[in-house]
Amino acid sequence: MDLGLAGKRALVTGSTAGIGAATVRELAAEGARVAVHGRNAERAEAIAADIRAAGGEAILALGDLSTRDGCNAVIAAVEAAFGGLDILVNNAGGSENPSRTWADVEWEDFLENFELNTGSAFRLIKHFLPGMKAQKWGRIIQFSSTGATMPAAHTEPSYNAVKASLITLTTSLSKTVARHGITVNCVTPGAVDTPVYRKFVTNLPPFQDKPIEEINRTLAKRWAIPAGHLGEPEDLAPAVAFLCSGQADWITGVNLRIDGGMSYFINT
Amino acid sequence: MDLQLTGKRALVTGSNSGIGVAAARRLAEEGARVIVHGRNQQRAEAVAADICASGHDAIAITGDLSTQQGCDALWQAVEAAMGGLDILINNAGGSDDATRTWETSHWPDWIEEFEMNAGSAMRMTEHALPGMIAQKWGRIINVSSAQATMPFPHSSPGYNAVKAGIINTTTSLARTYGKHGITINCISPGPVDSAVFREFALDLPPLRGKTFEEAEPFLANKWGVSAGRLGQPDDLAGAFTFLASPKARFINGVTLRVDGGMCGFINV
Ligand SMILES: NC(=O)c1ccc[n+]([C@@H]2O[C@H](COP(=O)([O-])OP(=O)(O)OC[C@H]3O[C@@H](n4cnc5c(N)ncnc54)[C@H](OP(=O)(O)O)[C@@H]3O)[C@@H](O)[C@H]2O)c1
Ligand SMILES: NC(=O)c1ccc[n+]([C@@H]2O[C@H](COP(=O)([O-])OP(=O)(O)OC[C@H]3O[C@@H](n4cnc5c(N)ncnc54)[C@H](OP(=O)(O)O)[C@@H]3O)[C@@H](O)[C@H]2O)c1
Repeated sequence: MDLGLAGKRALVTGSTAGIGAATVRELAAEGARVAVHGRNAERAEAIAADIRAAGGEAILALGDLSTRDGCNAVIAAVEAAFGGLDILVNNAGGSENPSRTWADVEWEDFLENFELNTGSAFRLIKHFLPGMKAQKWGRIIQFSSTGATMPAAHTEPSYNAVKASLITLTTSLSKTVARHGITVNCVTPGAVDTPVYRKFVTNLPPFQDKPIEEINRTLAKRWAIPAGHLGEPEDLAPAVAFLCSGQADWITGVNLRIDGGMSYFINT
Repeated sequence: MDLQLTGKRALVTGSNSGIGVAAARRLAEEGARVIVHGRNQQRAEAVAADICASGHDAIAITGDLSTQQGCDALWQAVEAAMGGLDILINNAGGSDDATRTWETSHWPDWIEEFEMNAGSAMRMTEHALPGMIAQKWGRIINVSSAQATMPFPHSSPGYNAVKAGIINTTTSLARTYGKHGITINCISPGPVDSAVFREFALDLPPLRGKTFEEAEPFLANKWGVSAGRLGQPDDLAGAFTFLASPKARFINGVTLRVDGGMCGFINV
């Protein structure tokens, strides 16, 4: 299916690893001109080099998105190379300490998570939206989490709450810009086998020294994922590319669950 | 994006008009072997012939799905033609009278709407599941309606309720059969320019005598479709085809809104 992405200028934040890396590769394979982003220059360059070797076009836009200066650096790099954006995928995010619980979480943790997950998206949207409006075409995608929609006991309360804000931001913004040819959507991943996921689970006391395959099998059962397995970054990337495409012109304000059926409530 | 649908056997119920035509055609363009269906044989054959004329693979099989007998007969014909299904799109549906209200509709109308929308989908699902389980791969896509999640006052209470039931059924089936490599998802359209829709909308008192083009901005505004326009069947084709693809294997149990942003509440 032709996604109509050839020549579109795309920034995928947090694309040096995990879901973002798979997404930036997917968009580039569809012909988009992509900006690879992260804090780590070496990993960003490796991914950009891969994309170029496959015949794609990639630039680097590095910076820590939890600060205003870092966002400005990313914006400057994108502007210099592309002079604006058609597609903004706000994928970077996470929590400094995913094992926090209500027992030890502090208000500062909420603020820190808000800066990284929502602040980064907010700043980039604010900057790139006017250009999208002027050209009457744009795509903006946020990343929430099943932690937001089905928070479990003893899981990172600040991360969960902050990720929920992105779902609301999405529907809210979508209404404001829909008549300008811009769609705004959100993706909610379930458990996906990425570097940050591995770092987290391999440090859980019962899993230390266990092979990742065994951990994943155990967790797929414990979390009752109907698919019977965790997601791979490559399970997310095509859906993001689809939402960015001309095939999804009339899809806006939605939050697409990609969790192997793990969400146990109906989807409305 | 290669959706890897070559050779997949697909039935799109209710594909001799409206949204179903666009879904059937797009699946065929992606290489699927498609069964075009409806009650009206002539229209079904015309759609299939049209798809074949563009070099793709389609046949027509007709039958009424509002009865058990009709569903059994369709399934027999499907098995005879293709030996089973990889993709089942339960799109046939609607209401015999879209102008029903709480005052003018009675329990027999509800039964009729249940038979036509849920009865057709559930009976065909029951038929298709064993083969999908045996081959460890399958895609079932149901069709709900924005009216299921945001019922308008004075509007089709039975139809709205049965379409809401389909959202519930989707998640229930996904949680039950996800482990067999099968996904069951749903698409929830907003107002889409199909023949029945036109007939209904252009008969609304303020719009009588108007053309669709004249009526469209009024309707988009009245119903809060943020995109400022109604959907065309083609706006939905990509979503059906993407969800049917192996690339969407980790999306299960969801109801994807394709409604131009009409549903104004957050999507979880
Ligand atoms: N994996 C899951 O199970 C899961 C589940 C639900 C939601 N999600 C969400 O999906 C998104 C992607 O997750 P992932 O698992 O793919 O993550 P990951 O493997 O940790 O990758 C995170 C990416 O974000 C970048 N990044 C992190 N903090 C940053 C910062 N302060 N400034 C700039 N870049 C930063 C990292 O780049 P550098 O290291 O180069 O800085 C990396 O490229 C996140 O929003 C996450 O919350 C993931
Ligand atoms: N258009 C919209 O605005 C809208 C909005 C929300 C949801 N939807 C849903 O989307 C689906 C398609 O709608 P549409 O607007 O494309 O409708 P449409 O143009 O009327 O098409 C309906 C299709 O279903 C078939 N069908 C209807 N009743 C049937 C029965 N008892 N047995 C077998 N086939 C039957 C029709 O075939 P025959 O004519 O040959 O019988 C036709 O192919 C429906 O489920 C509808 O409820 C539509």
